[in-house]
Amino acid sequence: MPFYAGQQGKLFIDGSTTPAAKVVSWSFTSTANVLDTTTLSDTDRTLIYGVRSMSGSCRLYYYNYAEGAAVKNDCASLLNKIIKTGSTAGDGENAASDPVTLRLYVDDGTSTGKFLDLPALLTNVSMSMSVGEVLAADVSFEVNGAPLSSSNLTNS
Amino acid sequence: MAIFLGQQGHVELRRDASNQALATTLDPDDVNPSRKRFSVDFAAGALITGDQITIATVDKAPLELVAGHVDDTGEFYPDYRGYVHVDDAGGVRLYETFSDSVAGGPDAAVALVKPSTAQAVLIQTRDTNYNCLAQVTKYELTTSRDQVQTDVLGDEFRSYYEAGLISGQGTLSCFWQHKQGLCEGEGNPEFSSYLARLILRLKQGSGFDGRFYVYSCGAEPAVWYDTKCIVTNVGLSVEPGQIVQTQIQFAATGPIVLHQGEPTAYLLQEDSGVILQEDGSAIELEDGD
Repeated sequence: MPFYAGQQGKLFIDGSTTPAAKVVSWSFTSTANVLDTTTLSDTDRTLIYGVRSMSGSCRLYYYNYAEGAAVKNDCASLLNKIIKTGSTAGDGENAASDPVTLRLYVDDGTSTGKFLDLPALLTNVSMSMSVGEVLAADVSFEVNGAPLSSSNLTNS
Repeated sequence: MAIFLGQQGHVELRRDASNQALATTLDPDDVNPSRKRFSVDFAAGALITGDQITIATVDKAPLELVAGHVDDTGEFYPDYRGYVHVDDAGGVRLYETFSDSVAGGPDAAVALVKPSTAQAVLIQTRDTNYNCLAQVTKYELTTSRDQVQTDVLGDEFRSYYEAGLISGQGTLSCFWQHKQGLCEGEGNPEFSSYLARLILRLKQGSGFDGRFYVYSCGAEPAVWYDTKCIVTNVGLSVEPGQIVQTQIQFAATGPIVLHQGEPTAYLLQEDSGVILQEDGSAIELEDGD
């Protein structure tokens, strides 16, 4: 299958073997800072690599589904990573937000597929309820360190 | 298998009764009893000839305007309900019937008295009757439901949220008419000119209640759409040698209901509640005396 599209996309959360439900999209950006090493008498700019960083986002419908006797909502699971409650108004000492491991997956027809395993910190979750639209969450994340070595998306 | 022709279709409209009241002041000099005519601010842009209105004092004090509109003690009632004819200068005459108001003129107009002092009044258009729209050559009505995509990763086929918003819009094609000719039928038809005026109405907007009959034939059960509409576009075509035609585009606002059966009728009570008349038999109010 030469091309891949949304039909082949999945998102796995925290090592689950079951793909998250009702994922509309995922995306990531990999950035490498560069450091300027240009000196006097140089005629062309020279660079070395600096620090790499990765960030991304995904969008999930807020959707309840049944798994056995349990009701699950993967969107709510992600919300729970970043939103922590307090016991009273003004309570400033509460649980820290949780890290999450996201697998951005492409089903290439093989048994393993292609994916990036990203240890991430959620930095932003945005939800809006509006007439004529389905409730969904836009989740942004920053990758903590490098992608895990299990990742194979970059393998040719 | 039956087929139906357009001859059994027609359009009825009721002038929108849910409009915001116009607040204004009726000064003694605004009323000309000899001409049976009065004027208030905004009338030229807000009222349309044929509108049924209620004019009432804000503080429920006696409304000194309509001659003889008094109770047993000789006190003026605080309000009056009737039909209006608005002339080009913004002058208003009151009438007892819709047809008289459309015809205009002082003869059938209600006699007026000059108020002794300035009165703060509220004028609200209201109508309980549906009138046929005259000279309709064609109408189209489209109902649609918004498609809200719910596609997710892994889907092979498009999927949609099943309960998207419902909307409706349509077009009325009519021969232009702005007045009733001599010896021309009975009843109180609305003319396409009303819809042309409606889109230009200030203050109260361009709403009307519409019934769009697909089939209506004598005593047989009718089929019709019932919805509130706003006029969104009026096109007029005037061409030498051709009939003047108008195209009125409208959009439904609020529920759209497809009925089959007999149109409901209402008997109004003094407290503005309604009694639903479900069959053709006489009801006790009619059997009084």
